[in-house]
Amino acid sequence: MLTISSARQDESLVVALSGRIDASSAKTLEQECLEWIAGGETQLVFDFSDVNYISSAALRVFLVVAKRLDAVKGSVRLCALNATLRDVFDISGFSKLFVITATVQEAL
Amino acid sequence: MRKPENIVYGTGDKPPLQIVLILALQQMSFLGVYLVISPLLARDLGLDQQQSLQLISATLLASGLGVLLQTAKIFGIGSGYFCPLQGTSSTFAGLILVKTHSGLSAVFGMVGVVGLAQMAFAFLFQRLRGVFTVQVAGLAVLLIGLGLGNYGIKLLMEVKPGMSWHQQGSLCVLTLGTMIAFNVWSSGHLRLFSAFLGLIAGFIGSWFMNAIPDSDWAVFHEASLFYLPKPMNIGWSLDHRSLLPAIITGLFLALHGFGALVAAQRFNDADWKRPDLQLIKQGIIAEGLTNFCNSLLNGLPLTSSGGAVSLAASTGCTSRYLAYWLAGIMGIIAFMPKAIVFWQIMPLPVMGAALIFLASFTALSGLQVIASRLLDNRKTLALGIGLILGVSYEPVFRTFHEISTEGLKTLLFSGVSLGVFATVVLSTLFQIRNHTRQQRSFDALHSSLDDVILFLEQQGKSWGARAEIVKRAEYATWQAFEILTEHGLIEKQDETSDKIQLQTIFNEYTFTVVLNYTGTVLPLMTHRPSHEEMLRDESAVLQMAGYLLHRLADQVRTRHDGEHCELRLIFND
Repeated sequence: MLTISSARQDESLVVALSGRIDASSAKTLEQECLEWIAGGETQLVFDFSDVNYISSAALRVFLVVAKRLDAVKGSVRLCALNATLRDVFDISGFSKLFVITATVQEAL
Repeated sequence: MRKPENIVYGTGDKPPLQIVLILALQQMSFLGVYLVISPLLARDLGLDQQQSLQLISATLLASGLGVLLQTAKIFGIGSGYFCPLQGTSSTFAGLILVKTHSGLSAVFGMVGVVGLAQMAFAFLFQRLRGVFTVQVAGLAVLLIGLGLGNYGIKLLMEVKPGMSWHQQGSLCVLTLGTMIAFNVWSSGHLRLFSAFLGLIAGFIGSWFMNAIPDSDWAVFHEASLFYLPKPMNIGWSLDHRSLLPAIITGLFLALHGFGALVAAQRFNDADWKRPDLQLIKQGIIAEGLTNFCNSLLNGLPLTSSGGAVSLAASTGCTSRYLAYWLAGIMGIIAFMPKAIVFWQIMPLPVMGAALIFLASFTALSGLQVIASRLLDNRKTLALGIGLILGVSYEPVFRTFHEISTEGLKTLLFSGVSLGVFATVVLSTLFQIRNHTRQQRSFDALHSSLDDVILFLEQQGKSWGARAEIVKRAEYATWQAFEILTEHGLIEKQDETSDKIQLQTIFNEYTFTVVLNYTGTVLPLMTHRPSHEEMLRDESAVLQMAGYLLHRLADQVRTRHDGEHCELRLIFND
């Protein structure tokens, strides 16, 4: 079960995620992200402080989002990953693709 | 084996000569307090002056032999760790019982049987790996620390003739304060010698406060300079009536040794996870052999000194060279009654302060070990009751001593032994109907991550696995669930459910999660798909999932028998 909430801070859209990002919730997340990008958002910051699980399907979503934003010269940053999530990003090689910070403030 | 940060000179390191000599004197200063045990037993056994000297000298010689055997680690004898031996008044009941029924010479025959019994129990402990677990080891270390601290407080609170409360308190504060100051706020050599400096400060303070009675100085002046102990000078014989008390004493000495050796292992290895039962066996064999030799010398039974181990760790030197020098000093002092008496002059509040200082390190180390493992109700009760009995040793001892027969009094050896013994007995008892190897069926479509976490945590507690390992297993297991369900690898049982049977296996070195299901074997990937592949091809997500699983667990194995598939996730502890 994933809860997605967003708020604008400076020029970025901060997306706070809560719960699990598994295969089914990843589809919902992908849809929302693509709508934001279509609506003109170019700076996305994802707050993982309340996320306890991420699957490979969810990793693909962030890959898709990064690709789309790259095409419009935007950026995506990830923040507040716990140790396990950080491990997953490191193992998958995704930590090299993204700017990962400890807090939302550092990401802004 | 990685040396902990607080250890300056580890087991294999060779400190400079002047440093190791001072550290050996520091150890001797601490162990010196136990030199009073031999005269006490000599008095209780009714020995004359020559026989008393024999007992005291022989015990000290055997202590030196013991610390050498322990550290030498040759021919399967000795753990290789610095773990000296000390006398203990807890064996008095058994020894006096034997003297009463069988005569004085049989006392030393009993000591020989105690040594043999320890060696036999050493082999038994190694075989009982499932009973002598990490938690039991932690309890033993905790009880050693609490026992040391309790004894320290007693020494401090005991009313000394000719010494006021003010003097006793001041001596304690001076000694303990000096030790703490050098241990916390200094580094290098000063921290190494923090305990010794505290003892010196306490001794000097005692001098200025006239806290050392004239009678003690008189004994010192009268003591002879040299004495040559002779083997079996008092006598040696064996009586069948001493066998049972000897075996029981041997068991409890072995349990005490187990605790001290676990503490020594823990203090020397930053990555310590579990007791090395092979080395513990070798260590207890060294102790048993020492006691056997001690019986031939006509000395008092010895037990491992958790306090000396703590002293070495708290001051940062656990080198085996320390053992060599300590053995040398003990050997020399054994021939010098005057030196023995000098070491006994140290006022008890000063020694009490030293024990409190050392107890802190040991007790907390034991607590950390226990807390590193998940505990279910059975383990909580076994450990809790053992701990309570261990710390309540004195009221238990007093009551039991008054109402029991002479033979049973030998059962009450020490708080450590009582507590560990109780925990071992309860742990064994609680194995009855303990279905640790549970298998549970999960509906992959309708189960949640929380269901899986709950099951694995319960299993982790039943097994006493480390929390960190169970956490990794939870994540990887749910990852496996997702892969099997999202990528159609499970054959649906009916329209509404997919079934996965989950089971765990634990053997102190690995925590294994076994998933059984009907369907297709999970493809395991040893290399991850590229980012372009993941964007281009949806099936690359399955490849990434298989790769993640392969990396999250330490080993992943699959096998199948037709449509019956098994996925095994192994996590190394």
